[in-house]
Amino acid sequence: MRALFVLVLACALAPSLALADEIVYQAAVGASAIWFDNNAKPSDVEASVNGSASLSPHISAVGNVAFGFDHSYVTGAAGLRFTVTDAMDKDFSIGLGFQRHMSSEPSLRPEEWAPDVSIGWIPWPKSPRVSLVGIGCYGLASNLATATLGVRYRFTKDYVEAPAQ
Amino acid sequence: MTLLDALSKWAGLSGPALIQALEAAAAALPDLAPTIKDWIAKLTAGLSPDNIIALSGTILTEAANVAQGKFAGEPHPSDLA
Repeated sequence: MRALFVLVLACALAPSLALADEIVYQAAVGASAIWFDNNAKPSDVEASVNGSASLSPHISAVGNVAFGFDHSYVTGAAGLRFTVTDAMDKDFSIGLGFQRHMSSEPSLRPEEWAPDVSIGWIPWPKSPRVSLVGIGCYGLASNLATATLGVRYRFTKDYVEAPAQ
Repeated sequence: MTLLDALSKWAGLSGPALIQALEAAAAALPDLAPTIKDWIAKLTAGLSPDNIIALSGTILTEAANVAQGKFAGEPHPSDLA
């Protein structure tokens, strides 16, 4: 629980830090369905706040806080994600990451390190704030796989190509 | 464990969970099935050993730049997953 508090605090303070212009920050609210392989843990529907800071074309720091409606828990995760598809494609990407997961209910959502594979797609380029996402995770302590499918609404600014000088 | 080892291990552990979920989504949403099958193909290619080997070199170069304070971020929809 203390780790979760630290994560929430970090997410709240991050925007106020001095930040380099070349880092691409994104934040979104979302809704997702999550379930465990072989129903090892109960499935749920989550609302989340997700954030990322892309440091280079293929390296991003990512994090999220989510609330599970069916079982009333709060989870959080933070870590690194590497883009394995065309890093210049702003409408579709696949990431390979490693995150620390924290939870208010470890019996429902284990606290552990977990590698993940994520996919993101902006289905309507005229509405670039809306994206469909999926993520597969594998908990190294619990040895349980989870899958999440959801939608995100990005509320941070759009990034546009700088005009050629 | 090298970066290449780590990336390969992560892909092998977590990739199948996402592919299974996408296959289930494709079965439940026939209209989206062709799109989702395209995603699965891209996912499989992205997590292939050849791509991960090429990627690990790129990531090491970029990590060195980041360590020197040279940032060059790009927006990726998968970062918000």
